[in-house]
Amino acid sequence: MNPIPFMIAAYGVTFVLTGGLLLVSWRQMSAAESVAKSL
Amino acid sequence: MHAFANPTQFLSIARPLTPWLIGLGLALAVGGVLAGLFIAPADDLQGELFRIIYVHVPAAWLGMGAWTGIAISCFAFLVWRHPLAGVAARALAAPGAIFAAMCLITGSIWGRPAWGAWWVWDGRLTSMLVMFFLYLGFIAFAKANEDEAGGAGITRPVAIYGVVGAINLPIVKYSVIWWQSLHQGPSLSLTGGSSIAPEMLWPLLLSSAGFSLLFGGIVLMRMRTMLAKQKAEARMRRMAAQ
Repeated sequence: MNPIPFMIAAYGVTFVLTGGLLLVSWRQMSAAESVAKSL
Repeated sequence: MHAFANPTQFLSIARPLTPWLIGLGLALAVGGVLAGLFIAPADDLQGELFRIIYVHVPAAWLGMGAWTGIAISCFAFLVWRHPLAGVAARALAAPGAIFAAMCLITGSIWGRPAWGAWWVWDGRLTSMLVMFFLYLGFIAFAKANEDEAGGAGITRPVAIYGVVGAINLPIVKYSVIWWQSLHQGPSLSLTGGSSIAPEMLWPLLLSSAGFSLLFGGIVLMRMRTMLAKQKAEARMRRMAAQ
């Protein structure tokens, strides 16, 4: 069985989940700290 | 520990630390992954397929490590009423769940060509799936008790759940020793050295260090978010009362 598609899938899932988590966490933090600062 | 009990003091450390953790974590994770993909030699048995290890193992370690953090935080909440312990436990839960899911998904992708099956109900896989469900339970339980918890982040029943859930950690770790398993046995230990070839091992350690730092940065961002929301809510309550 050709391993390349499986490796692409595994690394793709890792990239999407880790990148998504980083992005969402950063955006939520920026929004919350911006609101807290403005009050 | 009490130096971090004051949210203002904690934030004075967390704010400058966050970009360093994210930046260094990204550099090490990308470096480790690239080294694993292009420098480490192919495995004798699995060939190129084994390179999934460089994302699967860090995900597994962090999926378990996050619950260790939750259990310690919940213990600190129960015993010392540490004011930030509950916030830390809640901040760890969602990233821990995502990394546990990443471990399960990458493991399944690896298992199909290696074992001929996307999934088997062996000890390691089943106990890791239970760990993922424990995370979902913690997140839902903490959310349901949010109002009652207030600034503490969690309530006593949620904290007890967090501590008791740690029983699954040795089950996941020793499952490959206690039961017959398709999953590879332990090849790395803190005390007993490694059975992995050094040229395959160092990218794994680099990748693991990178993902761990990234994880730390994510948890700090989530703690900062919760503390900012608490501060905003307290101010709005004061404004409404005036």
